[in-house]
Amino acid sequence: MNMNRTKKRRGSLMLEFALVGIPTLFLTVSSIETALAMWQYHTLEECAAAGAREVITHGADCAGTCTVTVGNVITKIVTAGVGLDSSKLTVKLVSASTSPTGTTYSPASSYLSNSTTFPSGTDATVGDDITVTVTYQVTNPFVMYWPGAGTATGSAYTLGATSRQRILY
Amino acid sequence: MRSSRKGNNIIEFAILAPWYLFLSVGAFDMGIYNYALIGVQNAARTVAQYCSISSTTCSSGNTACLYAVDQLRDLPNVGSGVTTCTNPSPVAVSVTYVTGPDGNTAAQVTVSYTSPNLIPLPNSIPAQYTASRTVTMRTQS
Repeated sequence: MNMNRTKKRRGSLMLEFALVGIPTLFLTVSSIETALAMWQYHTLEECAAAGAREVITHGADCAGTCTVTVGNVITKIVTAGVGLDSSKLTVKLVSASTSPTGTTYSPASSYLSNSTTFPSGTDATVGDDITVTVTYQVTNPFVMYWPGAGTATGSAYTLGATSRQRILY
Repeated sequence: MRSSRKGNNIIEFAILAPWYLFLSVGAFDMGIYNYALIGVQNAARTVAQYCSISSTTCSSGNTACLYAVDQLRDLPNVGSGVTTCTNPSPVAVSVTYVTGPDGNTAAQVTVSYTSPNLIPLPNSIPAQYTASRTVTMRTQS
């Protein structure tokens, strides 16, 4: 009699765990993943601003040797991107003559030493605009939300940030 | 006595689940709001840099607005479709020329962004939030 009761209770505990444990795990992981993705989202905003700042303060009127290369800009972005995996980071740089298409560098980690001048020639003129767009591939096994203008593709989605600024000097 | 233990897990879960849900929703909402705050701060600074070229640079035209919008492109309700800063645009820009703390003319720029309707949490996080930042920058000429 007692054996049967113990077995029954064990069975109902398993059932209860299945009902309760899975949603609890899902909610816990969702909270962690959402917080992580949001932190990455904020970091990207800072990365775009840092990259753009590097370019606009090294224009044609900058005193001394001020040429900025794609590698310099991407290094600045990657350095500002604490916690981001640079192999999942894509950077798009747009200057006056290449607007709106620009040049895309993906993954960013492959272009840290790129020696192409940016912006090149007359695009470095003071007053011209440059745009830095950074996008980051977020992989999340428990996709619950995908904020921003990103698209959800299976278990991965893209977060991004843009900064268009005017060359200061 | 023993039968009263049945269902305890489910009751405990029912008590805890809303808090888990609030935690998850809170992380999402606060994430969007904080991104907006950082974006609006950067936008205000960028617009102020542009408007401080001279005391007439931002007297007319839509350029100041476009600088602000381009900083906020990756927010859920901005995207590529937004090109103005007048209602019902989620981005608003106000520029005035004032006398700065040093007695010289300065551009005073306020950028505001209104979020889409997100998931509200009772008595803590509203469904909609407006982030606003002001930057004052001395004009160059």
